[in-house]
Amino acid sequence: MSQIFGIVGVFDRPEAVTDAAKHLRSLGFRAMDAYTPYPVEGLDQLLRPQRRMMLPLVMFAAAVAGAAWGYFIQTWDEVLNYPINVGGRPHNSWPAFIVGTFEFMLLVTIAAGLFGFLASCRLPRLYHPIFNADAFGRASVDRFVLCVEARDPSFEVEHLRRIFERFGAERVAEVPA
Amino acid sequence: MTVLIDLPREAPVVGPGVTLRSLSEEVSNRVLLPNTPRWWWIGFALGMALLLTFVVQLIWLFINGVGIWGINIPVAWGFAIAEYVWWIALASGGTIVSALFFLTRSPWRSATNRIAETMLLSAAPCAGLLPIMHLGRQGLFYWLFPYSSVMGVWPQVRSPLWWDFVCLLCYILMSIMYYYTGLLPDLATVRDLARTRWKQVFYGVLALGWHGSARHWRNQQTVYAVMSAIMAPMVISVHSVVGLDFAGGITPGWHSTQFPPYFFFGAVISGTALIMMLTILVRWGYGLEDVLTGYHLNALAKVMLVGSVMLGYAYVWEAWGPIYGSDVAERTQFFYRIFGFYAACYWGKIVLNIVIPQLLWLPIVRRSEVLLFSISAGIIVGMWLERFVIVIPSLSHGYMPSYWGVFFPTFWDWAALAGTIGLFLSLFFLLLKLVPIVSMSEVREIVAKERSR
Amino acid sequence: MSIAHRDYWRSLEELAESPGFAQLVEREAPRFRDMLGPLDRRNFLRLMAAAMALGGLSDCGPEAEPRQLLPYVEQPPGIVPGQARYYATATTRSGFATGVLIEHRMARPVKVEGNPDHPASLGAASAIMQASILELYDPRRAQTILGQGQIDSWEHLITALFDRREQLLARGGAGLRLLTGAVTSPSLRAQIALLQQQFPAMRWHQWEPLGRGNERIASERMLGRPLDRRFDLDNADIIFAIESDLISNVPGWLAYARQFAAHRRPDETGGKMSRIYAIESTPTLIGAKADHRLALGPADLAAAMRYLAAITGAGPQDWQQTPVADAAWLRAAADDLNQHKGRVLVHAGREQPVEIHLLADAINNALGAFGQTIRLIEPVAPSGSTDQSLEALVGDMTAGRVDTLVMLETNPVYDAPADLDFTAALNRVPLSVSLALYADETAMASTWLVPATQEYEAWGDARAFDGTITIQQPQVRRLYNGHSPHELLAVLHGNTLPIDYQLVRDFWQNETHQRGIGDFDRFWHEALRIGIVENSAAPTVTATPNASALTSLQAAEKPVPGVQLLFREDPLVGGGRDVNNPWLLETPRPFTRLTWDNAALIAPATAKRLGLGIGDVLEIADHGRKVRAPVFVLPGQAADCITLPLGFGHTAGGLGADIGFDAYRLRTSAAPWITRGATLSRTGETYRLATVQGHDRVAGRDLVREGTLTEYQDNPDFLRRPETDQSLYPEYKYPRYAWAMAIDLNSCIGCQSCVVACQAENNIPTVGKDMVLQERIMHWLRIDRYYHGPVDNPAVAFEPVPCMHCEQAPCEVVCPVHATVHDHDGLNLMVYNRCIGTRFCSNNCPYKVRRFNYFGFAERDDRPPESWNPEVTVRNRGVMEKCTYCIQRIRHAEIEADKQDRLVPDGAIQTACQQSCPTQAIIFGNRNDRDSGVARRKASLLDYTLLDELNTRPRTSYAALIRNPNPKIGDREA
Repeated sequence: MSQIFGIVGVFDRPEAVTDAAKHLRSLGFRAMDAYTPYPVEGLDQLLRPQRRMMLPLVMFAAAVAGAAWGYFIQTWDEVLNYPINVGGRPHNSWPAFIVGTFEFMLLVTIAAGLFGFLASCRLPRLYHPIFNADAFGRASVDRFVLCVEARDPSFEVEHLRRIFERFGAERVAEVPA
Repeated sequence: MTVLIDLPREAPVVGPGVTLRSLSEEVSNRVLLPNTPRWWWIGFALGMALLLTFVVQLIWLFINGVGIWGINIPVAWGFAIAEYVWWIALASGGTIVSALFFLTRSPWRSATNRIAETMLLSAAPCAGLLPIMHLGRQGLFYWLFPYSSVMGVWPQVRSPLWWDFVCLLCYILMSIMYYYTGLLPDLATVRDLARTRWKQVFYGVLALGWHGSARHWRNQQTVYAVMSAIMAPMVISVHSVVGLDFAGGITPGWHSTQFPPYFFFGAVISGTALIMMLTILVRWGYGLEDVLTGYHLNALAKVMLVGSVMLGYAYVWEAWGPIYGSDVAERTQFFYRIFGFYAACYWGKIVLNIVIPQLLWLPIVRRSEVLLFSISAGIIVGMWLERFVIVIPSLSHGYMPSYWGVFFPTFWDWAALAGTIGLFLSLFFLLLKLVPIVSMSEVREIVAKERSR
Repeated sequence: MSIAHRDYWRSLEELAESPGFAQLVEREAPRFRDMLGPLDRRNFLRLMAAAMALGGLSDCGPEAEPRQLLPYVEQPPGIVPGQARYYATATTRSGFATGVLIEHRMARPVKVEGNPDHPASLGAASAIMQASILELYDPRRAQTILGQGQIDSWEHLITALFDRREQLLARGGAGLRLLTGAVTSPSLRAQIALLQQQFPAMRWHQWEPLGRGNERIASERMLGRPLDRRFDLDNADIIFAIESDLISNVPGWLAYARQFAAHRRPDETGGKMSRIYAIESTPTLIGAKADHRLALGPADLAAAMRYLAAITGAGPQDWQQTPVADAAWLRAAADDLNQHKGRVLVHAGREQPVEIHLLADAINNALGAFGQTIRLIEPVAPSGSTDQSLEALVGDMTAGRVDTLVMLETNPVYDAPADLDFTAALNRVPLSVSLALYADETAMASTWLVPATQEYEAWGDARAFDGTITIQQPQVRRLYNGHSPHELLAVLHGNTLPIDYQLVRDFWQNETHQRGIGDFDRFWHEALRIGIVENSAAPTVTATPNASALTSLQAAEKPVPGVQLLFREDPLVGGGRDVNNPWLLETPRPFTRLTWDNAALIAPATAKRLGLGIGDVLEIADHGRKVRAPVFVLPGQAADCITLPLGFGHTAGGLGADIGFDAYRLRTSAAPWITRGATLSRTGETYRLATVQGHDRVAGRDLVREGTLTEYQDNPDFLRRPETDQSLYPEYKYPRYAWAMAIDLNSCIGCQSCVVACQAENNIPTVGKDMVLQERIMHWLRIDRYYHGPVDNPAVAFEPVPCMHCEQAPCEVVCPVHATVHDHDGLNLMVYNRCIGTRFCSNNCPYKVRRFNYFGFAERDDRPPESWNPEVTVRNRGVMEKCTYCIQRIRHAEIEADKQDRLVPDGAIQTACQQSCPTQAIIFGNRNDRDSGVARRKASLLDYTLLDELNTRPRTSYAALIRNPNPKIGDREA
């Protein structure tokens, strides 16, 4: 069955997708994903209840690293590498180093955020089989698409088609791999 | 803030007729359809014309050095720095609206934040260029980067100027990343709505293959929230550090602990004012009245009003300090400000930033686009005057009466001002043509909410 | 070439016949001389071609052969790079010599310093002396001989003079006139004497536009014969100054200033101070230092002097009856003078009329000043009636009795009295030769212009105010083929190949022979080495003052209403002699702080009455002669007196041409110093005057601490402030050296010497008037001038402000690139190469001592490269700069000391400003060394730092200003 990627049901209401997804999970489907034009509250938790968000932790770690780096280069500069009497101020004028430390911390954090986010989304990835789905273009405009992938053990086209239609899918289609 | 914004609504967040599709097409078509409105061409042409003067003045500057400006000793900083502060304040306004009010979950922010951020990205380069232009030896600006540039010598990190340099650098980089994170889903929409091949490729590449899966959305929402939580203190720090450029010096008129918040208040009011003007422009130009509704203008107006009140508070303290304090130099400095050679600028800023904006207490004023537009324009001029008053009169009346002097702007000073405005306009109109100017994904949520109600 | 503007073909024939052509060929192409006989057309054309080609060459004459100094490729013996060598010589103004040492680097003269062994310098060097090095290198100097306005040659001049000489000899010299300034040079006088032997009918005229004639006449009437005076200020407890130039202009003023200052430092003299009274019509430096000052117009001043003479018993008692203003003041002063008989000095400036000088001398006599504070010597520059002699000359010239006029370094066309109309007279003289440093007005009006050598280019000799002789030796090969006066005179003697060295040396050879000095070579070397001829000072002579001299005075003239014009020398351009010197033009005048211009100085009250403000252009008309002058309102100027500084408004010459207005055009031989009844009219125009000081008052800041001597005696630390030095930070230690500077406000007389010295030492560029107007002047050291008290007669304080070298320097903390930092000696360094020009340091400098190169000022400066001081970096565009305490000198001394493995001894380092200061107001040294001069100054209870509330810990500190007012006279603020 590997010539198709999966089967999609296209809905016009977020609630329909949520209900369908609930039902499918209760039937034991796991390999499925929903594509929506805007974030639908709790949908991801519904599809992947066990998934934990690592991103905030990553960014926090980055913040700590950034701050450390920021303070270090300033100390290296003024204290370790080239200590010199500037206006009678001590070499390690830590209050003056705070700003730099702070800014470096934030910069690194945001960078980590962006790249962590892309990584966790497996992006950039210009091609994805789901793009082959019929009318998938509308998933980024005004349609809500639920896709059960063929790799799911209990994947069975007709069965899923009926379920989708029962939940009011306005179209159900197979997605070529 | 939230308290102010969540007052009983005076207008709906989105117009009644707006559907998910109409919204997406209305917005995306601005970048997809070939026909470009005349007003865009006019604005863009104006920008390019001014940009040309910018190039000319840059060439002249590099040939002759900063001596072409009116600066001297004692007034060693002139327009370049005043305008740098002015631009960075305008830019910060963008982040304030998009990040600060994201945290407050203000509904009106969703439609305006893209305008705000686009404005930010167009204003930041102006702010970034001016300090480099004003160096005596512009070619060596890179010595500010934290690395061992010459004979193992590093930057002097106690200098507020270095703090400022780092802030600006980080701020611009971070703004771009923040902007992109928010923009990604909309790029996907444009990709999907694009009909011509090259546009599909162009936006397809920019969208990085975003396909709005539940996982994507959850990641994006999380990271965007955290980013906003970081950008908010960031923007406050940026403008506070700009304030430290002055507060860090002992010059009378600069050496004041209130500068960081003072400058931030300035950023709030001037940034919002510019967003207001641009929103009105886009709204009218792109006929987005039902997406950028009176509700948004009203909210922005209130922010401006708050900014104006906060700024007024800062002005009071700016006056009280010298008068109450014992430092004779500070006092002479202040009286020079309000009665001296540059007094007109001081009173001008008071009127434009504090007096006139009080009209915004009246709902009628908040509903009239014309009034809002002109008040905002006045505020932007007023903020320019404020920066001028902070930088120049302070320097011209320092500690040594024997070395008091005045600064007269030369033609090239004005050329630099016009030039940066040109740079801003060119960039803004370019982005206007390239990226969806309203954050569709966020407005969709609001449309959905409205509909489900 | 003269043929240029003639019709071509005709001109060739004319030219071919004309003697001018013959001369041309002779000069340019001697080989063709014999071809001048019968000319066939071909020859003629060939010749023309050659002549024209060569003629073309002669236009680029001097440049054709290299005249500028070249750096060494192979090092000559005895010259060590980085080691300075010093050669003694002297520079003269109005004939009077001041000894200098010229610093040579790699055999190039780069700086002028005072000669400590010379009585007129004692090591100090005035602004004009300092700037003379720039005159040496000035590319605008006259560089080629002009005959009839055409480029010509020395040989040709000689031939011309020889032709004339034959005729003159036949006539016994009738029609030959020599015009010079005051001449003190023994050798030159000898040459003139010789000339007078050869030409008995020749007459020698002298013209000094700013001469001291009145003084001399007074001394003739008072002492019977013209005598010069030397003053001994050590004996003067009271100085009564009548618009006196005692510490600003009299010959030897540098030495007097030192004596003067030595008695103005209560913290060093154990609480003793001299007391100064000043009455004057226009501010003078001594007036600024005075403890009591009156601003009086000339008439009031005369009245006051008579009154004073009367009550000091010097004059008829009935003079007391005539009422005078300020009688109480004068009484108190008189009592003071009477109580200090024998220890007083009354001194009147040279501008004062004979009457005032007589009165002053009479009072001096009555109070026994002669022999005590005044020593008499035979005139150093003896002359017939100098000032009138120009009138005689002009008379003869107009009458056509003069056919040969030789002028040595004098510029009468510019500075002769306006009523004489020297120019017209000069045009009637067939042969006039002008030896001039610049192609000035006179030179251009004469038939011959001979470029003169600058003093550092030629051999010569001159005498100082006390008669001491200096033999001047050239410091460098002649830069612009000039000729010395000795050489020109020798030509008149009939010498075809005059060489200044021989002329001067021969003179001294037989001079020493006559004086019976055996070993001439020893004498010669010694004289050149130390820069003076030993014990050549004039002996003091005695003359009994004629007590009845005053009886000859006629009744006091009634004060006339209306404005009066005072003609005064500009303090820096010396009556026009130094107006081509950019350093002097850009140095701010002590009171007006004016650069690049002169202005009509008006008292505030008068200005208000006439409705004039600074910069209003005034038309001043007198006897049909008109001058347009911008107005400058000057506090302390006497009411209804307009001071017109002389020396500007040249129409020819060097840089100085067309700068300022020419007050000489209103100056007549009858009234050289003051005229009444001039008419003023406002033109309605305004003119931008480039003053450098923004504000005249301290504006409530604690910048000038000031008190009175009694306060000081009662409580020596009455000016101390509670110690403010506190710091959150640990102190840096400066174990080895802690370089520091102490400036004594009591000593500083505001003469600007240090400003120019700093400029010379540290390669500070001049920026020009436009940039001064834009407030971009580059001086590292400035002398602030503050007023307090009533605007008509304010108290003046001069405050030199170099970099403070703060230990907690605000400038350093804000530099983002480590371009200004501290070194281990606590110097505040400026690293030019590291500076990127953010200018934050200047904004953050409370003392505003930092200067920024807004343009490439040094590149713009049109001085030859070899004239810069190789010890100091020449800064380029876009970098900040400031006073370094002359770090090049510090490092040099430190290295020398390290070689000997010891600390730098006190006094081994003198900063340029300190070195040039006549009053030793500035002292520099190692603060760690408890007995160093600077440490002792800083230990004084008067010592304070500027803006100490900022806690910047300046290394430069000041001694508070103490005045010694007469308790019987209320404070002038009261």
